[in-house]
This record gives sequence, structure tokens and C-alpha cells, in this order.
Amino acid sequence: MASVKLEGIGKSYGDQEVVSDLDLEIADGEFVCLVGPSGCGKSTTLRMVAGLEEITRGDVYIGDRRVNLVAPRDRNVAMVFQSYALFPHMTVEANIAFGLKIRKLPEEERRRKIQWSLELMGLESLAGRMPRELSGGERQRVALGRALVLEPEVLLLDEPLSNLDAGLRSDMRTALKKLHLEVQRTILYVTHDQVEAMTLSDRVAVMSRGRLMQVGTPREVYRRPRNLFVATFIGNPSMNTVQVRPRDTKDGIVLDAGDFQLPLGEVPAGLVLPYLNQPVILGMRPEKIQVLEKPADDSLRAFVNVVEPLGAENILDVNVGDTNFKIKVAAGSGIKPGQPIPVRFDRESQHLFDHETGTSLLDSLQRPV
Amino acid sequence: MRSGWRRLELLWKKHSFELWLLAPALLYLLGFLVIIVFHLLVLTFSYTLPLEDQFPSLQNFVDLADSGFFTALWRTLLFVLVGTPLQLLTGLAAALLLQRAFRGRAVVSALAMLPLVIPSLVTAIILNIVFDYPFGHVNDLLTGRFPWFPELLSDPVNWKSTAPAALGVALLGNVWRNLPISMLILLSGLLSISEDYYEAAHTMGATGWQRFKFITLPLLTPAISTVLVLRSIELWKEFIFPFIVAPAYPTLGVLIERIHHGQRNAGLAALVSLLLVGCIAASTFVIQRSTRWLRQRLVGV
Repeated sequence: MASVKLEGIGKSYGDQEVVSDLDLEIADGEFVCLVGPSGCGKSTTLRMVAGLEEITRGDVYIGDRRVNLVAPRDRNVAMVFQSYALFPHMTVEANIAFGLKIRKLPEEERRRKIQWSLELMGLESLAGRMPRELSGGERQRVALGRALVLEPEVLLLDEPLSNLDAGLRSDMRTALKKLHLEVQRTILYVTHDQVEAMTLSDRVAVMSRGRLMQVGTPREVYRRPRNLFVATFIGNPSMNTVQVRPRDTKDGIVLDAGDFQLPLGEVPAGLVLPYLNQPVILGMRPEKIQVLEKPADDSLRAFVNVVEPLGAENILDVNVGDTNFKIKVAAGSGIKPGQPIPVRFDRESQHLFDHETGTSLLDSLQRPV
Repeated sequence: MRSGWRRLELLWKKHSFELWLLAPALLYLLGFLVIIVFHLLVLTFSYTLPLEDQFPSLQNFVDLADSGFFTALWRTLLFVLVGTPLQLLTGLAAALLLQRAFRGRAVVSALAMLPLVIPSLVTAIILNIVFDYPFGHVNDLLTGRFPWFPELLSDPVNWKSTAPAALGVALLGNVWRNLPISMLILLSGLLSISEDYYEAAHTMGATGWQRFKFITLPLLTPAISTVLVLRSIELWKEFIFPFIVAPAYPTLGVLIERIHHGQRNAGLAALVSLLLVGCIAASTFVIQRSTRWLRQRLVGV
């Protein structure tokens, strides 16, 4: 087992920079997800750690060893591909045995390890099957078994669940998390699915356009997004955003959205003052907007456009004036489309972002989450 | 019986459209296979005489021994045994080179098609000129007539006067001309192997040679088998290169022409043709069996 350290790594194809100046440290045994929209450079980053992609700038360390010029086969990493890349001409057992055979392990030890891997992944009864005879989930398990049997210092997973259907994906998610607790490997996991990233990892690294946007625990990136990108990318439905102008009134600072005004929440006034009468972006999580029984002094009047039932919860698509919001409410509230409802914005959960840079105004503050 | 007719009638009603679609293929099979094979069989058992053919007769089988058949068979077998692997290896080498993406790949692939565009007859005649005795280009080169090439021979070689040399040159021409075919088949086989397999094997510790041996080769066996079967059939039947370049050492293809046109013995020519077909069937069977066996061996990692 080993830690992984990426120091200012970058990757360019000709003039095009796909990953720039990325710093990331992954502790020994940690599960880190690289998450971002497609084309953000997350897979390229993973492949640079695997050694399948040349590193243009910066250094990659596995443990204490700088591996920039080390061939993939000597890095002691194992990778699971999105396509699983199971060798189609070999049985499940031969697939798992492949790496061990290449490493010329003695027969006895090889048997033992293959058996361990088959048992770990629940594949004993499938050992003699060919990959084409397996279901998606079974292939996935073979791919994992094939990677783990090599006892890699680092396990790299490239969108391993994206080819599975929704139900299976959630099962495999749980299975992966259990597996990580069991084998305690350092895992770097690439996904475009923020739910996967949030549920699986110890820490999430959010990427956009080749840059690292934020690294933190799932709770940190959700509660304290450092910029507008992370704020809207993490969370489902996405965070509501609206352009507001802070105004200094006799009641203190209010955020003027045109259609309505909100008192400034717990963002320190000192951070907002430089932005007086300037546009800033206000972000509100859908679950931080409450639907009230009846109008109150601090409530706003919203019109319900659409109700999306999710079972335990409903997502409301509402308008306050011309501004569109999503609200998450418990199911069974009896709210119907076309109905006006009183809503209140949770003052404690306001996020404010610089209009130009998208940086959170809170970013300069150190505050416990 | 009546129910049989009834069933046929139903079949016709149900599938008449499909049966009409099959008609051209059936006519083709009838015209070019059944009739020709039938005629060939009749000829085989006909003794060709100046005025009239004698049928049935086994005289052709008696004449076979003195016709030069067995020498020609032996030559052709060598031709196939040396030529087929050679075509596979040169095709594989070319395909592996063209598999990598590089600048100007399109131009190189187009150039690689060139041998196929030149008529074989022209290629064969050019080979004749190049390997001429005593003033051909190859002799000039080897006897040191060009200052930039060392003198390897003191006297020019008569390439056409020994069977190995003459047939070797003919084989060279054949391999060169047909390189694009094997290359294309193998290249499409190579390109159908997902890059992921190589990368997976790479991260699992496989060296370049191991990746070739455990991934490329087993996954390429269908293409390899196709190349071996196609090329061996063509080599068995090969006519134009031995005919032009090695006329003194007839292979089976050339022998059939000799007997048919030179000796005007259609019956004997038919018998030799039939035996050639038999050889092709046998060799194809052996090749397919052995590639299947090879594939299973390779798959076992």
C-alpha cells in the first residue's frame, strides 16, 4: 500500500492543455474520487498515474518513489477500465491469473491467490466461464478481482460503474465500499456521477476544464463549495442560483434580486461590503427553501410550475416573480402545479459567489463546517 | 405423396419471395459449379483421341505417372509450404507497421496497395528482365557493376536454370504482389482489437512481447486463419508467375496448361485439375484444424 502524490502535474496535446497544474495528495488507504463533467481531464489524470499517459509537467509519486518515467508494469498499480477490458479469449480464471502468470509466481501461490480473489468477488461458480457469457455486473466483479489479485499499492478505477443499469450500479456502489473497508487499498476513482463520488469516497476532488476546483470530504464540498462550479455540480437537484445586488438599508444589508429581497444571512457583512450594489451570485440548496403552511412576514410568494415526485420526496419547480427555483420537499404535502405557495429561504444556508470569478465570498474565511 | 406436394405448395406460397431472391444464386451454383464439375468428371474418365473421345476410360490414370504430375505436385507443395508462411509474415509485419498512427499513414497505405494494381503479367515480365542472364539488374548488382554495391559474385547466375532459383523468383513475385491482401486482412484484424486490452495487460505487468503473444496473437487467429486459407489456395492454383518466370519447372497450374494446350489432352488435364482441387481441399482442412488447435493452445495462457 502506498500514498499517491500529484505535484503540479499537467498534460498537453500540442497546444491544447487538458490538465493543468494539478496538486493532489492521497493518503495511504484512502478512497478518493475524481469527479467532473466529461472532458474535464479526470480520466487523463488517472491514466497519468497509471502510466498510460505521458506526464507533460509536474511529478507523480507513488509512496516515496517518483514514477514519471516508470513503465506502467513497474508501478505496482492496477486499473479497472470502463469497458472492463476482460480478455475475451480467456476464462474468468485465466483473466484473474494473467497478471500472476506474467509475474511468474509459483504455481502454489498462484492457486491460493486466484482462489482468494474468486471468493472475495463471489466468482467461484463462474471461474470457467468466458467473459461473453457473463452479465455486466459479473464482468465488473471479474475486472475488480483481476485487479485486486495483484495486490496493487494503488487501485485505479475509471468509471467502473457507468456501463451498469441503475439498480446494479447502486448495488455495486455498496459492494465497492465494503470491498474498500475489507482490502484497505489506496483507491483513486474517476466518475462523472457526483452521487457516486459523494457516496463512495473519503474525499472528493472536483475537476473542471483540466483544473482542480476543490478537494474535500463529501460533506465539505457539499456544505462549503469554494466556487460556483462545485456548488452547482455537486448536489441533485443542483443548487439554485440567482443574481442579486447587496444593498445597504436601514435594516442592514439586503440581497436585492429584483423580484424580491432577502436579508443577508450568516455570511459576514464585512465580506459583502465590497460588493455593495454590485452583482453577486446567490446560491440556495433546494432543500434549504421551506414551504410554509401560510404566508409569514418573511415569506415570499411562489408559483408552482411542476411537481416531480421521487417517492420519499417531491421536487417542486417554482417561480418567484421571473426567477426559477427548485425546491425539495417531503412527499405528501399535497402541493399541485399552478398553486401559489409561501416559501422561506433559509438564512443560514446562503452561498454567495463573486459574479466574475465564481469564487465563494466565504473562501477567504476559515470556518468549521 | 399428396401431403408432400401439399407441403411444397404451402412452402412456395409462404416463401415465394425469398425463393425468388435465392434464384440467381441457385442458377449461379448450377451454371458455374454443378455443370463444370460434372463436365470435369466426364472429361476425367474420357480418353482423348485425335478424332473422338473414348468414354468411359481409365487411360488418364495410367498416363498420369508419365505426365510429370508427381514432380509438379512436389514443386507446388513446396511452393505452398514456403509461400504461405512467407505471405503471412510479410503481411503481418506490414500490418503491424501500419497499425500505429503516424504522419502520412494514408499515403503509405495507398502505396502499399500498389502491387495489387499492377497486372501480374507485367510484374512477372519485369521480374524476368530484372533476373535476366547474364545482363539482368540483379546480376549486374551482384557482380559489382555498380560502385556503391560490393561484388558478391564473380560470375553472373542463371536464375532460370535451377528449380530452386527459378521457383524462388516466381514465389518472390507472388509474395510481393499479394502482400496487400494479407496485410489488409491482418490490419483489419489488428484494428478490431481494443486498445483497452493492451493497456490492461500493460498495467498488469506484461512486456511488449508478452502483450503480442497473449493478446494480439490469440485475438488475431481468425484473421491469420483467413490469410492462411486464402493464400494457400491461391498458391496451389498459382499460374502466371511460374509460367513466365520458371517455365522449365512447371507447377500444377502450369502443368495443366501444358497438357491441355501443348499436348491437346483435355482428359488428362481434367484429371490433374481434379487432383489439384483435392489437394486444395485437403490443405484447407489441415490449415483450419491446426489454426483452431493453435488458438486453443494460445487461449490457455
